[in-house]
Order: sequence, then C-alpha cells, then structure tokens
Amino acid sequence: MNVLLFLGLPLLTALAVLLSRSKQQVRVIALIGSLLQIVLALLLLFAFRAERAGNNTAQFLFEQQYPLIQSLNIHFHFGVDGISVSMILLTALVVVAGVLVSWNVEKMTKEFYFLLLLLALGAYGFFISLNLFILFFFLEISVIPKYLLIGIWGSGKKEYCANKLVLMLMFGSALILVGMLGLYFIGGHEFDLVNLSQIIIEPARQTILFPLLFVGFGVFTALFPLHTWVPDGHSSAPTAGSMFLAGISMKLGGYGCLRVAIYLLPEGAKQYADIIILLSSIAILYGAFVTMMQRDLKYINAYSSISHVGFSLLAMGMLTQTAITGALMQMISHGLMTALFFAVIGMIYDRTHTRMVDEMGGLMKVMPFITTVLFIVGLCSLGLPGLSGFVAEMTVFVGSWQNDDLFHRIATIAAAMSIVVTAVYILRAVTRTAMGPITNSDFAELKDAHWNEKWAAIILLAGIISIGIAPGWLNDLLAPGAEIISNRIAGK
Amino acid sequence: MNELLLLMKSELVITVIIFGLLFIKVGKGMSNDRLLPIIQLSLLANLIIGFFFNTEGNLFGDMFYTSPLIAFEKNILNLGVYLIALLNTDWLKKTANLAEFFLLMLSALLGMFCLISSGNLLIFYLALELATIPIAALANFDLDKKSSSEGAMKMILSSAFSSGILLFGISLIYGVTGTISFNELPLLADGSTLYTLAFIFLFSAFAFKLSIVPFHFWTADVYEGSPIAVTSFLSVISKGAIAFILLTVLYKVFLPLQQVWYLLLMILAAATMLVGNLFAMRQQNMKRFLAFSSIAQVGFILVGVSNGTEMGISSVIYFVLIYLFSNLAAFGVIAVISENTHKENINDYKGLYQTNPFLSWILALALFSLAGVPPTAGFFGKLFLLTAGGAKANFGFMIFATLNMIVSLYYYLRVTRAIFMDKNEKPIATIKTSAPVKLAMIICAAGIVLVGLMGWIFDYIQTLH
Amino acid sequence: MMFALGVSKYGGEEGLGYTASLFHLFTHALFKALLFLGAGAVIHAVHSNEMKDMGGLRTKMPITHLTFLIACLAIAGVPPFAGFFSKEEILLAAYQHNQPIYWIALLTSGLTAFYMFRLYFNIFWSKPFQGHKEHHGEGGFVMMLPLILLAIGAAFAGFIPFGTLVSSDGKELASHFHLSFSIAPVALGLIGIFVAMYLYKTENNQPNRLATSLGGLYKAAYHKFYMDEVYLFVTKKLLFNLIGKPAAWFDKTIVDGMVNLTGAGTQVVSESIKKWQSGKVQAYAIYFLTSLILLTVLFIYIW
Repeated sequence: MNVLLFLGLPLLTALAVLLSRSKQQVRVIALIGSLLQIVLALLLLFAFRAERAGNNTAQFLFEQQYPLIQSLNIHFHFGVDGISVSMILLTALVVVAGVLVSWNVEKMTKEFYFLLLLLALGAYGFFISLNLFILFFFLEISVIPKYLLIGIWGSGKKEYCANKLVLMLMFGSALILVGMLGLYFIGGHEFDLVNLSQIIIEPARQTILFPLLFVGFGVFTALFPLHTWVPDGHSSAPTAGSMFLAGISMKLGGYGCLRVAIYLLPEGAKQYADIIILLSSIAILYGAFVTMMQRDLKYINAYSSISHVGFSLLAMGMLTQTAITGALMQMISHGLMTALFFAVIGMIYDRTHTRMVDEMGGLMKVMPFITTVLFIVGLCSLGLPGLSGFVAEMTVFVGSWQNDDLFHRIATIAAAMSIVVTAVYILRAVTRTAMGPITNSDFAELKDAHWNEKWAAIILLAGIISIGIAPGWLNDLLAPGAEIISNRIAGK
Repeated sequence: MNELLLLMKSELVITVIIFGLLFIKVGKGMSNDRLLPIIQLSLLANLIIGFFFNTEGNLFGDMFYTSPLIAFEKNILNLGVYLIALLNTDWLKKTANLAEFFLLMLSALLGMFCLISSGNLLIFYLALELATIPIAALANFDLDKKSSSEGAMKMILSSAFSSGILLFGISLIYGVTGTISFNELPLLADGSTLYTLAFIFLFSAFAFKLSIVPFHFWTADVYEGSPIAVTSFLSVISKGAIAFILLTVLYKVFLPLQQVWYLLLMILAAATMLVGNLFAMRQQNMKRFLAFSSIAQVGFILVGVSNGTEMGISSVIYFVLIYLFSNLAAFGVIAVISENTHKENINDYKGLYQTNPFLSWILALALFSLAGVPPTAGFFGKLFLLTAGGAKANFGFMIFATLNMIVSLYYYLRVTRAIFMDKNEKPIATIKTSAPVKLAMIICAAGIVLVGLMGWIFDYIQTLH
Repeated sequence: MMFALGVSKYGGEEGLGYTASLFHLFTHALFKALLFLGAGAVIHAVHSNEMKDMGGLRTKMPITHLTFLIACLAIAGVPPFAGFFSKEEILLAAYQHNQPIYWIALLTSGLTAFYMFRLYFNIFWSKPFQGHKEHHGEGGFVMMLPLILLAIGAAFAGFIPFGTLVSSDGKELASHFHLSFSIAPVALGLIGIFVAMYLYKTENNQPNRLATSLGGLYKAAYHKFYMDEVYLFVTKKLLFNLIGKPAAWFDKTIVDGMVNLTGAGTQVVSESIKKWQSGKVQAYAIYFLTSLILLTVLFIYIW
C-alpha cells in the first residue's frame, strides 16, 4: 500500500474544494474526500495486519524514500508502524466527523473546508513521516489553518485566543527546532528517524537535547505549565476546530514526545522521567480540579483534556512497555472522546446558544439523541468499562504500577484519585445539562440532531465502543511499537 | 575580448539597457505606456540572458571576479528588479520621469553587480558608492512629498558618514598589509590589533548598508519616505547584494579573523533580531512595519552568515531568494493599495479580505513566509539559516533566534488578523489589479509556495561552489 | 461480602471466606435485584419514592407483594431461602476466624432482617391504601416476569453447591452445614422480623415512641449517620473551595498570567525603546559612532 495516498487524497480534496462553485458542492466534495480517507485508513489497517500476519517484522512497513535536499541529507522518508496506523485511523475518524458537524457553516464555507483539509493533511503527513525535518514540516503546516480557523470562525475572544494558541505552539516548535538541529549535528548530519535510532548519542548531549524536544512537543500536548493555550484555544475555536485541536493536534505532540524525544534519546528520558511524572501528575490532578470550577461546557472539556492528556504523559514517564502502550491508547481514546465531546457541545450550542451549564437543564427531553451521546462521552471520560477511556486508563495504571518504588506508586495513586474528581465534574455537568426540568422555555421547541450530526456522533462512537469492548486489536497495533521504544530505554 | 564579453556579461547587458534608456530620453522621448513595457521586456531579457554562459574567471588583474555562484546571485537580483518593475506598474505609469527612474535603479544595480564581483577594496568601495548614491536619488522620487526628500537627505548624509569610516578602515588595512587585493589580503593578515580595528571599521559599512542594529537608524525614515518601488528595491535588492558581498569578504578576505567576526556576528545578529522585532511590533505604517521587519530578517541572515562554510553561503543565497519573493509580494500588495487608495496603515487593512481576497491571500502568504511558517518557502529559508548557524551547536543562541521568530510571528499575525478577522465598516474598496501586477504576484506566490518544496534548488546552489 | 473476603485466607478449608463471599455475591445479586425491581414496581404504581405515601399495597399488587416477601425472607436469612445458605457460610467463616467479629456480623444480620421487614410492612401492610382512585394496579407482564424469575432464584439458589464451583485455590470445597450453628442467626433474623411486624404491621405510634426513647441514635441513623453531609462537606467545601477554586484562580492568574506577561512585557520594552528612533540624523550619526567605539573596545580591549 502506498502511504503517500494519505498526502495526495487530502490535498486533492482541498484543491477540489477550492475549485468548486457552490457551498453545497464544497460540502459534498469535502465529505466524499473525508469518507475516502476513512476507507483508506481502514485499507491501511488491513494491509498492515496482513503484512504482520505474513511475518513481516520490519519496524516500519510500506517505506518510501525520495530525496528532498541531498546536500543536507534531507529525504522524504515515509512509512508506518502500528502506532502510526492507529493514529491515522484516529485522524480519519475525527476528520470525517469534523466535516459532518460543520455542515451548516455558512460563512466562507469554501475557505473553512479548505483549511480543515489542510489540517488533516498536516496530521497525516506527520504520522507517516520518518524524517525529522519532514515531520517538523508537517507539524508546522497546521499553524496557519489553526490560526485562521479560530480567528475567523471562532467565538468569544477569538483573536486573542488564536494569537495565544499560535504563539505558544510556535514556542514549542522553536524548542523542537533547536533540539532537532542539535540531533542533526550530533548524529552526523542526519534527520532520518531510523538512522538516528541506530546512533548512540552520549548521555551528556541527551541531557541537553531531551528537554528541548520533549518540552517542545509537550507544549502541543498541554504539558503543565505550558497548557494555557488549551482552554482558550479550544473554547474559542469553531466546533470542528476544537475537534481537530483536541482530537488530533494534541496527539501530534504526544506522538512526537514518544517517537522523537523518548525513542531517540532514551538516556535523556531516563534522566528526566521523574520530572515528567511529577509534572504530569500535577497536570492530572490540577486539571481535574480546575475543570471542576468551570461553568462553560467547552472549558470543562478543555481543562479535562489537560487532565486526560496528563495520563498519557504520565505513562510515558513510567517508561515501561505497558505504560507506553497505555499512553498511546489514552491518546487515541482521548482523541475520539474529546472530539465527540466538542461535537456534542457544538450541537448543543447551535441550538441553545449557550454553553453555560447553569443555563441549561432538561435537554434530554427535547434532544434525546444528543444528550445520550453526551452521557456516553461523559461516562467514557470518567473511565466507565466498556468504553475506550477505561481501557486506556487501566493500561496506564497497570503499566505505571509496574514500577515498584514509592515515588512511582504515589504518582500512580494520585493520578488514579483524579478519576473521582473527574466523576464529580462530568456527572455534574452532564446531569445539569440533560436532566431535570427544562429551565428555559425557549428550549422546549428545539430539534434533535440532524442526519449529519448523527453520523458524526455515530462514527466517533463506533471508535470509542470498539476500543472499549474489544481493545485487543488496538493493543496488537500499539504494543509492538511500544515494545521497541521500551526496549531501547532498557538498553536492549 | 571574448572573455571580457563573457565574464562581464551581466554588467554589459545592464549598461546596454541604461544607454538605451538614455537615448530614448535624450531623443524624442516616449509615453510611459509605451516605454514601460519595453523596459519590462528588456529586464526580462536581461534575466534570461543571466542564466547562460556563466563561467569562472578574473578580469583586470584580479579586480573583477566572477563564477557561476556569483552569476546566480546576480540572477537573483535581476529577478528582483524585474518583479519590482512589474509590481509597480500602476505607479510607474503615472510617474513623470520613468526613464530617469530606471536609469537610476539600473545604475544602482550595476553598482551592485560590480560590488559582488569586486576583487579588491578599491573596486569594492567604488561599486558600493555606485550602488548607494542613485538610491538616494531614487528615495527622493516622490517629489511632492516632504518625507521623501527628508528620507533621501538622511540617507545620503548617513551613508557619507559610513563611507568615511569605511575609507578609514580601508586605508588602515592598506597600511597594515600593503595590499588591497582580496586574494592577497588573507595571506598578509598579521592578526595585529590594528588589523582587527580596520576590520571592524570596514564591517561597520556593511552593518550600515544591511541595517544591522545599531547602525540601522536611517532605515525606517528612508523606507517610509520613499516610493514603494524604491523601498522594495532597498529592502530586497540592496540588502541581498550587500549580504552576498559580505559572504565573500568574510569567508575569503577576512578568514583569518573568523573568531572575531563569528562573535561579532552573534552579538549583532542577536541585537538586530531583537531590536528589529521590538520596533516592528508597534508600527502602524505598513512600510515602516516592513522596514523594521526586514531589519529582523537581516538579523536572521547574519545567523546563517556566522556559519563560515559553504553551507553558510548556500543558506544565505537561498534565503535571499525566498526573502525576495516574500518581501516583494508584500510590497507589491502595499503598492497596489497605496496607489489606489493612498492608505498605508495597518488599521486601513481591516476587512480587506471581504473586498480583495486575491490581494489578501498574496499578502498573507507573503507575511507567513516572512514569519517562516510552513508550508511557505520562508520556513525552509529560516530553517537552513538556523541549520547553518547551529553548526557550532550553540544551543542558547539558537533558542534566542527561534524565540525571535515567535515575536516576529506575533506582529505578522497582527496584519493577517486585520485582513481576515477584524471587522470594518468601510473596508478598502475592491481594487482591480492590472495584468502585469497580477502576473508578478502570482510569480511571487508560486515562488513562496514552491521554492521550499523544490529541494533541488538548494542542491543546485550547493553545486555552484 | 467484603467482610467475608476479609476474614478469608487463601486455600483449602481456610479459604471458606472466599467461597462464601462469592456465594453471597451470587445470591445477593438475585434478591437485591428483586428488591429493587419490586421497589420500582411499587414506585411505578404510587408515583412516589417516599415510604409514607405507601401502605396497604398487598391487595393491589399481589405478585409484587409475594416476590418482595420472598426477597425479604431471603435477605433476612430465613431458611430455606437463598440468603440463608450464603450468609451461613459467611458467618461460619467469621466464626472460624475471629469470634468478636462473628458477633458483630450476627447482630448486623438481625438488624438487616429488622429494617427489611420494616420496609416490607410499611409498603404492603400498615395503613390501608389511599392512592389515586384510578390506580392502575401492577404493571404488565413485562414488569412481572423478571420479578417472578428472580423470586425463583432468590428462593432456591441456596441449594446450589457453590463450594464445588468456586474456591480460592481451584480445589473443590465441600459445603458445611451445621444445624446447630444456624440456630443463632435464624433466631436473630426471626426476632428482627417480629419486632418489625410488631412495630409496623399496622399504623400506630409505637415507632415514634421508640424513636424518642432512642433519641440521638435514631436521629443520627435517620440522617444516615450524617454520611451524606460528610460527603457533601468534603466535595463542596473542601474540594471545591479549598482545592478547586484556588487551582482555577492559579491557572487563570498565575499560569496564564505568566504567558500574558511575556507578551505584555515585550510590548512594554517595545514602547520604551521608541524614543531611540528620534528622526534626527545627527543623533543617528552619534549612535553610529558610539556603537562603533563600543565594538572596538569590546574586540580590542576586552576580548
């Protein structure tokens, strides 16, 4: 299978969107394009499993290499392992859901979908790149779309939030850039991930490079205390924008932390593991408590994202294979879950024109579908078994518990405690929104989800539930990749 | 004779055009509508000729040196001048002294060509003056604007001051080594204090011309006062030419002083990026804004220059090429808007996207490229400069440079925000852009989008060494 | 259940608690579910959760009444219902393990019988039915079927030889049944039932008198020993005010403030260096010369 299709398809769709005449055409083209992305992602999944079943044990499959700048030894190098395959699946699901929920965007529809597809392109490119330079390029490609999406189609203090988001993410990029160039020179003019992983970098160098890369990618994934772009950015973005930001963008950071920082600099990872654990434990608890005080549904989800993403950072700090698998699972689960959460919040906001929990009530009676989805997402967020959140968090905790010293134990327990707080805020928010009498008489006439919204929810729910009920397939994808990373940390 | 024709090809073609213009002017003259296309075509021809018959060689006993690399640098400048001629079509058609404008501009270009090719300090100095004085005259071209004359006056005075110090430096160098030839100087450098002093004096002239902080003060006033065509010439062509010769001078002539100039470049690059950015942050006038942002860009160029090897040369040339596309596109949009509405303030650009989507996209693309955001070529340009500058693994400095990229992104975003997001009761009315302008903008946009992704361009530059 | 697990040890005879706990888990599931469903059926009928709105329902809803009774008997540990067997094993496990704990357990099981039957009598006996006129009686077949199925389970599940199916070490564990041992719990259960019957079978003021005589204990129990208040206090007062609020404030003010401060600081610096660009060309020349001298000093004297 040719992984370049993942670049070609979104690009073609984006161009087709640009050339189309009417708004309806734009929507249909974007939808067809994104549906094809899902098909492609599933095909990739099957092809990948078939290869693995056929005992193809290469670390990366479907590799391709083309020179970009030979004199600097920069190549387009693409390929996927189980981790990237699952990330691509996640992206495809979120993209199509994002396209569906944006069906009613009337303001500059063409530009909106164009930017959305550009974001998708960046994410796909990032996940299939095996060259740091190209990886960074695709990471950065999403900056303009993010900025414009929030700034033009957003709500609230959108300009301020767009600025803040972009500048903070650029700060992360700046650190990544320096770290990346450091690797380039230390590794003998090499940007290639695979080649760099063969090189042993002296620990003293890793001490310098690791924080640059980890914190850099960490900014993208809301590493405490560099997380403040998350609540502002997410809450002012349009629905699809929030879905992309939380569902995909934050995962780029997590993937980078793991694939670049930890994998290439295992010694550095060991040196800084305790700090990562400390920061992410703080983020988990702190995020949960701050969420508890929020009244705005989007802020609730944004802050809870900080807490949830903290789990995957925590697991990375734990450095065991199970924990790393858990970190990846949490990334995927959280991606689906928050994307759906934001989608539902968007649906509610479109109808009630408020996101304040206190101003709602009894929505279950007028929009049963939407509120049911809200309930499921809420339950997934607080880790109800049968949904993806439980699988991921459980794996994280099991993996974390494998470190048997006091520090790791305390961190694990502290993180696990946050689930109680999560339950408090999720249940409060969800019940206040959905249950009880209808507080506002205007709400009595509201309509339930339209077809596009229903399908968006169903597609994401399918992901959440299929992971929740049968986590085996995901584990099969992620665990080998996690094993390679943990083996490298263990020095095997 | 044949060798002379071949090696001085670029200079000769320019001279021919200059004389052609003179004849037309002295003769019965020609209306702007007829003359401008002729000029544009001849500049295009000049650009095309520049790509052929490029060889390496010396003339006049080492006074003049050229190589495929230098020819490529000259081509970049040719391209820039051609684009300026296209982008400012509207303004040029209206100007009273079209022939004089190009006479002066091409003379300056000729000076720059000689500057890049100069093989000793004498030619270097002469060419530098030739490249400066016509620009001062050009800066004064908006005859009915007081700020134009004021800018020109400031430029000529400051530049005379700088030239004085340059000459002092040159004479000291001659005093220490007894030679002014670029080839002999590195062999005769004795590392004495006086030689270092002379070098710093000489370098200050570069710093002045490149608007390196703290030698940059003339820049903003001149940029703001001059017609936009001149501003863009100053900020792109002139800066590019000086950066090219700076590479030659540092890498070839003052190689023995590498330790001195490495540190010097680091200090000045840091200051230039920082101060340029801080000033650019709060500018309201688009021209002043771009003036200060171009100062910050020069700071970045210095990061690449500090490399000291072929990588440094390639990355600087590559960056200048990209910077040329980006900055000219930005200036082109500003020129069109200013010509049609006389509005030059950022606040006037609010809601531009509603009325002028094409211009908005071009400007946004240009600004993102200047900010170094992918997928634009500016990203690659900045990245290679950093790659060149990071070769010594000085992480602190690298982080400082990248943080400056964020500050610069902040103010570039200010403009895009005005264009796309801010609401405006009375946005700039829809402007009809003429065909040549559109063509030039599309060329620039294509350059911005494609030069980065076409990696072979960088490889090509690398092969020219 | 948890209790039984606590007194268990691993393996063999000592593992009785383990088996017992699972056994009880199993039977408990049956009769507790039955109780809830029964309660649901009742609530459905009278449209109220409050016990004071109920009473005398035994004629109105016979099937519910019967199944509810079975469940109550089972939970009270009256033979031969399911709860009897499983509770027996737990108590036995406790007896073997720790005598005082056994006594506590025993007492608790008596209390269980009392409160379950208080519920039962209050709902189905007590005062005559006084609900809506157009009372729709019991729910349909769909509601009754699960009640009946669960009632069968609650009645007979105790005869399953659970020890042969589940044990702590996988080996079979024979069920012990000592008639003499069962006397005490059964008797206590029956006492509980009769006390409840005496107090609640018909509406009277006995319970109130008892309540006053028990005083504070009754009040504390009525308020569930203030457990809810403690929880509320912990979540509302402690978590929200002491942790949540400061954390939210910290995030908005300090963390976010740092980010904004960086931006604002840059702006301030930018503003403060504005005056350098004076527009006077003589000043520019002076800057030029000063910088040149500084650089010269730096490179020639300092470096």
